[in-house]
Amino acid sequence: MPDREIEKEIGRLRQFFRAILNDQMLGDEVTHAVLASVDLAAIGRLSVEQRRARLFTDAISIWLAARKSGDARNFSAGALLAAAGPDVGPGEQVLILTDVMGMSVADAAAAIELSTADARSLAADARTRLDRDVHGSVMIIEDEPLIAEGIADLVRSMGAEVVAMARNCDQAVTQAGAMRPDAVLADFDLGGGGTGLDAVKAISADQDTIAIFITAFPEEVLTGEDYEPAFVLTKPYRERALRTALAYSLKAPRPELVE
Amino acid sequence: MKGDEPVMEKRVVKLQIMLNDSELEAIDDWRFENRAASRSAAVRELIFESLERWQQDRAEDDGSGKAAQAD
Repeated sequence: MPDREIEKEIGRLRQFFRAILNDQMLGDEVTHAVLASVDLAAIGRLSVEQRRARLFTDAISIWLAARKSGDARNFSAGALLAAAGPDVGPGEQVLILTDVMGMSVADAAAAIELSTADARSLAADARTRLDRDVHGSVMIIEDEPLIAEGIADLVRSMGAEVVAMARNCDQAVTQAGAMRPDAVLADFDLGGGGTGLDAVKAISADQDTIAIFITAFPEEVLTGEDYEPAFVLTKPYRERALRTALAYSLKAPRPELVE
Repeated sequence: MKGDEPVMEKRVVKLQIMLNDSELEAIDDWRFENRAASRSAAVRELIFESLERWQQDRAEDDGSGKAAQAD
């Protein structure tokens, strides 16, 4: 059984796969599938500092290798893993690890087995690609009007459209039902108006929208036991984190819901 | 994202299924007894087993049909 420290790192790994695959459920499935082949006991014997790098390196290399193997039987975890990417390059992977998850470039480079210089250069190219031609409809759930306006300005400056702004959970659910946004940007604490997590849970039950969550208390969102959004940004967040998360969520491929 | 940029293809799809409470409970029971990593993994495995059985039955039916024709 993994100890608490490793559980925390597994939570971060889950965050990475959800974000890079642009889908909460697929991210969770891929995390389960790769962890089945990771030697957690060996990682548990490493020093705390070495654990994250080793867990990410092992997990990502299993994920990358699965695409090439292609001999898993249908309906197995391996078959899902083989079909689940990566459809984006290493530059985008570095951006998710650094901009969105707050890792250093050196740690991100180690996780995907690149030199720090290569990681930096690939991430810069990926950022240029991501910043170009951002389209899509966005809903903002935030109880503080000034903060909501600030986020809305940022979203518009990227080229996306703000189709709804809700201040509480009920408003959010109603507006999302009417506008069906491509992405939802949600604050956790909505004052007396419920939580952004409740709103995102209710919205996600009804439509396949991608959720970017902003919270000062990520441990309240990332419990590993309940619904968790695909992207989680920790307050105070840099503008770059929100830009990358939003542009990526609107542009990167994600599993299509078929009838 | 075109040209020499990474190819972004959709390779995995999501399928929605409707279940009542007792059906969900039955899947969860199977999941825990068979140590499936998730509900989705449990459903995938159940589909696999059912399709395997169906293919075997079909192969046996074909075999007995051919045998009957040969008689």
